[in-house]
Amino acid sequence: MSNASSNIGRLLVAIVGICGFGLLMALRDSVSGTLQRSAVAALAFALGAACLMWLLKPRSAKSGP
Amino acid sequence: MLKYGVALLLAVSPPSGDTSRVSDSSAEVNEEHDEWIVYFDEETQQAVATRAGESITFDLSELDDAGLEALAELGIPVSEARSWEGELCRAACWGAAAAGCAWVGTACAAGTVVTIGGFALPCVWATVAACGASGAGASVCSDWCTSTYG
Repeated sequence: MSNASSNIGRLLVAIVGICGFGLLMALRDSVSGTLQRSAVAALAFALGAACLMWLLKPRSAKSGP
Repeated sequence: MLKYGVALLLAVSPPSGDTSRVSDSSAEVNEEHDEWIVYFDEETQQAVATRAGESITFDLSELDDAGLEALAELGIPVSEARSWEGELCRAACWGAAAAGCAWVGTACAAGTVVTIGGFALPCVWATVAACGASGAGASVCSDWCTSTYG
């Protein structure tokens, strides 16, 4: 994968992570019931963590031309 | 302490002339107006909403989210007043969750495997699961703060 498409992929993952986290936390506010609210918050945190882990994943540098 | 502020839709004096007396709700039924009027007593935390012959008595301190939504559907706007203790408590809950999530993320080196009771779990998934669990815990903690401190 070229550098440009790799960067677009990272940008997309960042957008999905940030927007997904924000939307899920907003959804949590409109949901009633402790269990349901905590489930939505868990999803939000898990999504944020997954996106962050993917973005911070060490990538091996390409060698050669 | 009154946790919820109830907005008066119609700024008129109650029929009894005493805004703090809500013990006899039938005597305070608003027969004349189509809009809801809400009276409340800070000591008893009881309130009466009345409109055109109908009346609802409710306890503001025990009003949960469903109750607030029900009032909103009836056209009675209820705004939740937040206390600084509650804000601090909620901040501590979410902050602790974020810190726990970050701690697991940094402690778990990428590419390694965590073994929990003989079950090998890739560190990435362990981090995601730990963050989800901390988020769920923070949500419960935050709701507790709201119900305790407002």
